[in-house]
Amino acid sequence: MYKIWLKGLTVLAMKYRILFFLFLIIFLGGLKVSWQRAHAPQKNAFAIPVTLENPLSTKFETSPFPYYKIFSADKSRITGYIFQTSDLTTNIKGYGGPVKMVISIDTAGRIKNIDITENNETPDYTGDLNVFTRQFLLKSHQNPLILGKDIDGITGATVSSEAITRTIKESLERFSKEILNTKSPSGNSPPQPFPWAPIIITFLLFLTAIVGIVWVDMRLRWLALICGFIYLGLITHTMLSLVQVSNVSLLNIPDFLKNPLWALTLIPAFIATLIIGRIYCGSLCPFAFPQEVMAKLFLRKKPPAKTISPGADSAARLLKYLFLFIILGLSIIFNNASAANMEPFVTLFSGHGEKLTWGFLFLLFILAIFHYRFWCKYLCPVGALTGLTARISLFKIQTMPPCSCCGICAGTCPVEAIGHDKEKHPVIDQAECILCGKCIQACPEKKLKLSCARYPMGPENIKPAQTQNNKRSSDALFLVLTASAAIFLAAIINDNILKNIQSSNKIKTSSADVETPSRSEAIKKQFESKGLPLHEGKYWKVSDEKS
Amino acid sequence: MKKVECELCPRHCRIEEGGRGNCRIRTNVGGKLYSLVYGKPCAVHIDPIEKKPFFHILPGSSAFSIATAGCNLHCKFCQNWEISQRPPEETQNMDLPPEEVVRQAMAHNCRSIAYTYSDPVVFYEYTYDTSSLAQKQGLLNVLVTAGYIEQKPLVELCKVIHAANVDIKSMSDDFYRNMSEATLKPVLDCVVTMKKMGLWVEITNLLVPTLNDSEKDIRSLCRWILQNGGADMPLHFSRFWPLHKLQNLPPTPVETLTRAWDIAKEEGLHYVYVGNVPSHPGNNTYCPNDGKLLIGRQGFEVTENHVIDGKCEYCGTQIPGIWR
Repeated sequence: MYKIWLKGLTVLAMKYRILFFLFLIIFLGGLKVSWQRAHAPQKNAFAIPVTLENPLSTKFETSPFPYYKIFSADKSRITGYIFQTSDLTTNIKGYGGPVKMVISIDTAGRIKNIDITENNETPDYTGDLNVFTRQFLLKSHQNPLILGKDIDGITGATVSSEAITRTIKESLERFSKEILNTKSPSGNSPPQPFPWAPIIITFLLFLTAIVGIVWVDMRLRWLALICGFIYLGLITHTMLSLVQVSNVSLLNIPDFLKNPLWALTLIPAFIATLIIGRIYCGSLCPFAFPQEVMAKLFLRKKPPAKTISPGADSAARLLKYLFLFIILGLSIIFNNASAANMEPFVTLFSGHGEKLTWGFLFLLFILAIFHYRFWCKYLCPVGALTGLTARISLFKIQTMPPCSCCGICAGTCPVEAIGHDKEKHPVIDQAECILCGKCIQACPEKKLKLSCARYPMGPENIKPAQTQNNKRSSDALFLVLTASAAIFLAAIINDNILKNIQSSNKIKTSSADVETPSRSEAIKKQFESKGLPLHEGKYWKVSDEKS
Repeated sequence: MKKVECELCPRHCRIEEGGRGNCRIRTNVGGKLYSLVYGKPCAVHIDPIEKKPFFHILPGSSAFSIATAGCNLHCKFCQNWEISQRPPEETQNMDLPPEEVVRQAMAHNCRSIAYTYSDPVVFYEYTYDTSSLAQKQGLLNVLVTAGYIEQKPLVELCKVIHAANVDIKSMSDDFYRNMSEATLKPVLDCVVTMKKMGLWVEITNLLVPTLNDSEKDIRSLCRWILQNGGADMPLHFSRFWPLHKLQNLPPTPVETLTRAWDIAKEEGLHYVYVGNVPSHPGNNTYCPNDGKLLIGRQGFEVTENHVIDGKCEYCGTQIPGIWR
């Protein structure tokens, strides 16, 4: 079995080899960069936000962790403390990594001020996090600080709210125990129940889908599609998405107990794909269901509706790989996995999105009327990734040669994944095959089967063995359609990223040299309150000193 | 936000957001440099102009003297340390915008406005704006400064200033570094530039016992003045009092001052004075030609004045200064 699998590896067509290595480079590069980021040398003393009262009377301590003591104006007694949560707590991750805060407390341990210095959460979902943290003021380790109990979470951003609450609670507890020498009242948050339900449901879903293609039973396939739509899509809106892949590359893996479906969609999907191919795309993706319904209702003709020249089609299918690389790359550069949130299925099921994303969704549904699974074939970056993985799957649909090369399977394949080899035997492009099983059903000789790779293959071209509609006039129209959809998608990514990056960068001030406008305003007010209004000085320049 | 680099004085402080320059009164907010003391003097007095000391400007007239907190030198022997070595938060500041300064000076019949006590270099913008207004009203603007300033701002300021008293504390760069945390050259350049710009310059030298009162020190100072300022540039020897640091030193003995006075005259300077010592002949101005007493002073009060139209009443020699 292993040898056969290896043999399959060695016959990857050049095109897919290149794509696969490109993906590996980006992904591994992301891992390296994220590792370096996580182990960046610590600065000696963190910057105190100027919104505090008397930043001059402080003393920096380093043990048992870095923190500042605040002194009264006459320096005779301590009036409070300032610490950075990342120095005190374990890595409690929100949706996009840990939320770092600088907190100042009084001598009783009550919070006087919270400054968020690093935040990678999605602003669309969380809003201004300072509004959320306001409710922590004057609370101390004596309070329960439990989401749902004395802390109100942000609707629709439970993961972020939970992460911040736990970060504050844990750092307060540690500080009060080690510096203030007071104990917090016992009674931590109730332990999380082990998520049996999601595990069982996901397992059943995958089982249904796999059995459906093994037994070539269309009813099971539709069952898996409907259940996937309802559970993964409508109920939990946690479906396979590039956000998960980006998060792995950013070394930002959430707690399983906190977010079980993150792992429960990612891991089984990839394992299943490595075993039999793009089963997720064909039978489980919640976004597949609406497209299949549209096709069933509107696509009267047997697919494919129109054939186009193989060159144009191949080129168009590469677009989804392009988007895969772009999204993954941008997430790594900006250290923010939410760059992948432009996927239309995320918009559809979570309800978040603006005019551009809803408009694009609408366009896709219109296209689905005319073309079977337009999104999946040409644009879906998740499909690109599962496609690359499916190329080395253990089981593939293939003929038991010799067959009579009638070409019916190629004509039946709704995603035109079937080409032929030198001897005219049908060869299925595993990266494009979504395991719908129609070809197996259509083969008059019943020679097409799902079996272990033992017949070396690699498509020479995707041209169907026999064409029925040779209308090349549809080329231009088709390319226009694909190009416009691609542009639309690129615009969404661009818009989405800029918005998310700008707002998370605005809050990100972890170094003393990166100041937000509000700090300057605060300094200005401080001087004015002392009767020293600022007057523009003469004879100065911006320093070119590297900060 | 970036740091800003102040280019007012040779220190070129690089100030970060919310920080201060070495002078304590310039700050960076939002990537821009601001002065904290504009229009906020902490010392406002009306003094005889002789106190500054200016002996060759409008004798007997009053100078409206102002100063803010802060200074870009930190001399161990500072005679005004209570305002110069303090940030503006720690001084009692008055609200006196430039127009108000001019108005009050005129209301009190002052012929000049003196920017003194600490150092007008550090409250540059306030000095400049007030001087521009004062000049238009016919008031004289006089600076009393350590001269530690960059050439560019100096040249600009000289356009609105009529006279300056520059403190040359020593001709030794080491002395400047050890005692004042500064350097010598910019001060000397300042004197030269001011003379070139047509200002009336008088030099002051504070004699600190054992530190800069040796014959060598005094002679080298005199020689420099002769070469660069001319024999007509007045030199005031000032008496040190241990007010700030250097509490281990005594106040300058009168003999030291007298000795310096003699040496300076010997070197060829025409107008040498001794300050802070009442009833000393070094308080008076003598004609360099016939040695006659021209202006007699008792402390800071003028007792007699024989300078008519800027000339010696007796022999007609031109006496340099600003007499009207």
